Amino acid sequence: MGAREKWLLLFILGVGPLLLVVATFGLSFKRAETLRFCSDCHTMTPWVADLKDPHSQSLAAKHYRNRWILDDQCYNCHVNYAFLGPVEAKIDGVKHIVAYYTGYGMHRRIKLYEPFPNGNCLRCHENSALWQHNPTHQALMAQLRGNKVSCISCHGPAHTPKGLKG
Amino acid sequence: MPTTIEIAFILTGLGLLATIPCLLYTTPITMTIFFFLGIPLFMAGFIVYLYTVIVDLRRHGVM
Repeated sequence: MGAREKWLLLFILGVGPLLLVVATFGLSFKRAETLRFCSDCHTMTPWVADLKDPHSQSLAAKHYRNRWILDDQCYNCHVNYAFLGPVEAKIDGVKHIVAYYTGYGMHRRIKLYEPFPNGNCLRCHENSALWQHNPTHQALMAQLRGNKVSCISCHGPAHTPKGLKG
Repeated sequence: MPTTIEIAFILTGLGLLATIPCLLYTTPITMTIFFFLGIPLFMAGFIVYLYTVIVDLRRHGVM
């Protein structure tokens, strides 16, 4: 086997697959942020149906209907914007996929891992004049920022999925 | 061509089959297949190739 063949083998069996894996890794994680990806799992059908329901008064539906969130509506609200928030959200996503296909870790009732953090709302709303000048928000500023009072307690429900069992 | 290289080719080819669908159309299914089949197959193919290279280098007294 000549030197040229050996270099070709290195590319075909080493460098090429590595580049392909890196590209697929990055692209797939990016695409996993989309609404279409989340709605691919049938478990999420009631939530997506509510999101897209033009008559629903849920917070998610209003954000979707008015395009207050332009794209990737699920991801924009459900990623916690801590230091590694997006990374943790993606790891959680992989756990969901494993649970969905193996049944391990699947719960009868879908619920958040922890109470929905206000920071996910404040990321967009905090710097708006409308939010800042609202007297109720001003009165509750410390509690809102400290997650003692949830945004959802006044502005909910976040979702009104229909036809849930269990 | 050594048998081990052929094995490496087969493993890499299978890895490619598991990866291309995810690259073209990312769904939970294709992503699961890529992460749990594609990447391990690529790694296995590379390890077999690396083993062949090390054996070859030792035969030529380089290692």
